[in-house]
Amino acid sequence: MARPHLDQQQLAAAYERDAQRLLVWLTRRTYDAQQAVDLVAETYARAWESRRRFKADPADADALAAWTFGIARHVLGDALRKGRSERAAVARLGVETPALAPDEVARLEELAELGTLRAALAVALEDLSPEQRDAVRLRVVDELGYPAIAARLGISEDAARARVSRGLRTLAGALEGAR
Amino acid sequence: MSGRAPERVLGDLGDALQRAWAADAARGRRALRVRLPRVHRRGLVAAVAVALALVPTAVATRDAFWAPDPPPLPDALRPRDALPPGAAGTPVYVGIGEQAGIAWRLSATTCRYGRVQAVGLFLTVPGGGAGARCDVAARRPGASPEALAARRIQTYYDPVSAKTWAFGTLPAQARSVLVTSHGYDGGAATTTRVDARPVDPHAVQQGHLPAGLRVFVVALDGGRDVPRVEAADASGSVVLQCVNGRCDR
Repeated sequence: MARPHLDQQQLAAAYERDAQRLLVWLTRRTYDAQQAVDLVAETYARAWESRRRFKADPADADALAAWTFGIARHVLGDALRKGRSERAAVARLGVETPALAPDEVARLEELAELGTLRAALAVALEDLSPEQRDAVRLRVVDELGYPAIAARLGISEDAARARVSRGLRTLAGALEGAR
Repeated sequence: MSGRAPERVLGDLGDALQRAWAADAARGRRALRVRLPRVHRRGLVAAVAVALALVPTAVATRDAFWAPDPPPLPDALRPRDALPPGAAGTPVYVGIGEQAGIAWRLSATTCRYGRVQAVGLFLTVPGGGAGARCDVAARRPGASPEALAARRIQTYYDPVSAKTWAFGTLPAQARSVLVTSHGYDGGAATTTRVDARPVDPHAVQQGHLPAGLRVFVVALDGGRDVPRVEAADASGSVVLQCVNGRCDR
């Protein structure tokens, strides 16, 4: 007998189970709570669009979590490569992603224990190229926004995002080690 | 801080995703209908009508009332005299709110043991949660289905917020609740008055809950026992009395 497809109720249950863990995981990798929320949205939007490709048992919570995190890795990879959040599936489905107020960003960063990671990264930054190091330091250690980083470095905002993203990708090992 | 807690942000995003998924599914159904020849469309309508008559609750899954459905208790962890329910509903959210800056969610499950119907309530807060589903009845005093049905009131001490959460189900006519509590170490009892919150009729329908079900949730400072809860109707007449979590109806 053919296995039933992943349905909305099952995906909603998976979201309830896994979304917070995913949000923390993405926040720790982007150092940007708003971007992490956007990426969670994009992940579950893509999961919905790809639900018929989920071949395991939809009732298997572990398999569903592994599949969703696999999508999240692709979404994160796209974001780091392009220096901005990929929001194609969110746009196609018309998902209204919550915008975070500054204190909500602070709460999310606290949840993700970014303070601890910031200390570990300050050490690991020495392994980056000077350009990337400056960009990542301004973003992660000094917590500046991208317009301020761009102005400080004399480059465009997109270029600033790209430098930070590439730097963070290089630091992935340090990120894993500090978890 | 006055903004939303991360759980609330995720709750808002989850609601937005579910709305988008439902709209997308509806678009898919409309597209399917456009592609089908007329004769097939009539057949499809008939099939859908039969399906709706047979499984009326299936349609309700479009809405966002479903709560997480934890896996059943492993048999090895059940007492020897465990009494599984004859039927159990799917957990649905019956309340969501925020007290003292802490977001909470309340979900409920209907458990039927023969003629006895109990409602398992589960409270979730950022620091954790507590409550009951349909796994706890046993053939012994205090854990029988009848005792489970009478155990309308529960408490949970959340060490993260240092608050005691009292919550419970109420009959349809309840409008206000008086919660009497005292510190774990005794001391003077205090009474807190809260509203009896109506449960969304769609959630009642989807969860097969008692008609007109109401609930209450209150966060009390510190660790507290809740020896007494009284619910009153709009005229102030007591409609439910509970002592140490056990209620008179």
